[in-house]
Amino acid sequence: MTTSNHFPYGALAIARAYANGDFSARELIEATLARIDAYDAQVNAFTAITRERALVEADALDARRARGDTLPPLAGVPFAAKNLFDIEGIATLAGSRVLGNAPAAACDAALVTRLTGQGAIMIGALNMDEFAYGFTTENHHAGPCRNPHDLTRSAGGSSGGSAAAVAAGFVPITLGTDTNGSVRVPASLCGVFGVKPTYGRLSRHGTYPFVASLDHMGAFARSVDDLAATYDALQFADPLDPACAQRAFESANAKHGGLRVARLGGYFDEHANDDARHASHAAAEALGASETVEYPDADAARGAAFLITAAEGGQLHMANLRARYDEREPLSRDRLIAGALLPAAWVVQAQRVRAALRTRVLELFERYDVLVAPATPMVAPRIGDEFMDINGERLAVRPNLGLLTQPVSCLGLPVVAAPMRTRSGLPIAVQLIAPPWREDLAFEAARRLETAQVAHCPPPPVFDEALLLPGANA
Amino acid sequence: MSSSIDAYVEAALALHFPALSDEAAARVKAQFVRIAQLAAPVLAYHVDADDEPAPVYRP
Repeated sequence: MTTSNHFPYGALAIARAYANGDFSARELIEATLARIDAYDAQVNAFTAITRERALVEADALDARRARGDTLPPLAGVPFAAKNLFDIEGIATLAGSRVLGNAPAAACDAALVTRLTGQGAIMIGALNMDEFAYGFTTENHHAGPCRNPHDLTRSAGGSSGGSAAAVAAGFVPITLGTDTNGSVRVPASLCGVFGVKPTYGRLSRHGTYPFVASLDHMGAFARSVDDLAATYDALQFADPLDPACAQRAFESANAKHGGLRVARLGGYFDEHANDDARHASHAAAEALGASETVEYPDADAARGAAFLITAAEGGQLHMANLRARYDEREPLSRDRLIAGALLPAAWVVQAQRVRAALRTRVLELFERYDVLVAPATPMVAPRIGDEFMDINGERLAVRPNLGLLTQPVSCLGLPVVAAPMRTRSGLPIAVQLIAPPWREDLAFEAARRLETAQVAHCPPPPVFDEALLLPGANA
Repeated sequence: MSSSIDAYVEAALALHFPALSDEAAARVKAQFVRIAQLAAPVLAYHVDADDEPAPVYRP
């Protein structure tokens, strides 16, 4: 698939075509910037464009190619990062007005450096929920990020800009983070692939934190191969992140024979509507799963994640919640203050339950390699929707879009989110959940679904030319 | 339960956020009640004395 400017959409396809001499990096980056200039006003995925930097990096890459240098694997691939990643030369906002006067980052975050080191070209920073506390990217400071497949609907969050930028065809890969579902929820609502690796797999160095016990780094792409190449490029044992595991590189592309797959029922069916359950059944069937199993005490795992998040997040922001309450995001500031007040006994209990549940879920993985569950209870809600109806239960949208992702990330398990079709035409993803440090199993399951055309990343939308900004040139 | 939560939140706000407006305090109370509902299965979960917390989680 190619863009209207005849550049490929996929990351690896771009790298191959660039290495083949089909176009210059400057031509590609100018076309990428022109598409964003023309259409992002409709999506609002970007909060900053690193135009000058991108063109400098493109020219440097073109010079390397002209010298006959060996090109790195992601040479020429445009990418962008959620605006909690440090990007040299611009302020790291983390979606918040209170950081608006922060000095520009002096250097890139570790994972940004990993991608640029592989030849990828930084295009800009992406919209998100304030301080990553939300599932809808309805950011009152930057404006809501809109779903490219239906601009009246949410892109999901908190990495909404990261998923939307890929779904819109602006860039082929992006970086995001996932504390409770912030990669998997927007991947589901925008219909792109996403990876949330094992807790501790990828370095958090140079990112604005949210919940140290639960923060995971992740990525988005339009295909499993692109996502795997990105994930592999990001891996390294970073001594600057105390939670980063000191493990050797373990490729996403390990070869496998049969996969033992089960579908998660119980909690994961009860909190999923027809679209979500159908997606889970379709994925399980395509992967040859015949059994439905129960995740151990999913409601306790979800509750533990909620308590730990509220307490750590609330404590992190106490000072500016006191001093600058009026400038904080109205959708999350009161929840953060409530979290800061939680009794210590509740939070310690949550951490103990988390450790106990870890033992029980590992027992489940003695029988199965991959567990399948929906990533969200429903397809994208409309922006501004307060409530959703799930099997007759009326639930608040904003704290509950992640109720199927929270029990999984609470235990630090690696997940690939794979987008599926629904009857409504809007996408929804399944979670392909693997044991700790076995991202390769989740990638293998995703690849099988993609090969069978069960998993499907919808093509980028055709944007409404009538909504072009004056002077924009697509 | 709700009266004890009200009393707890008011006391905790007086300690940590003494300048918060009454309107904001009411919203914080509502949020606390929601979190308390989600805490119920966690607090009911039996842990043994040797089930240690996982402050730095290493799967």
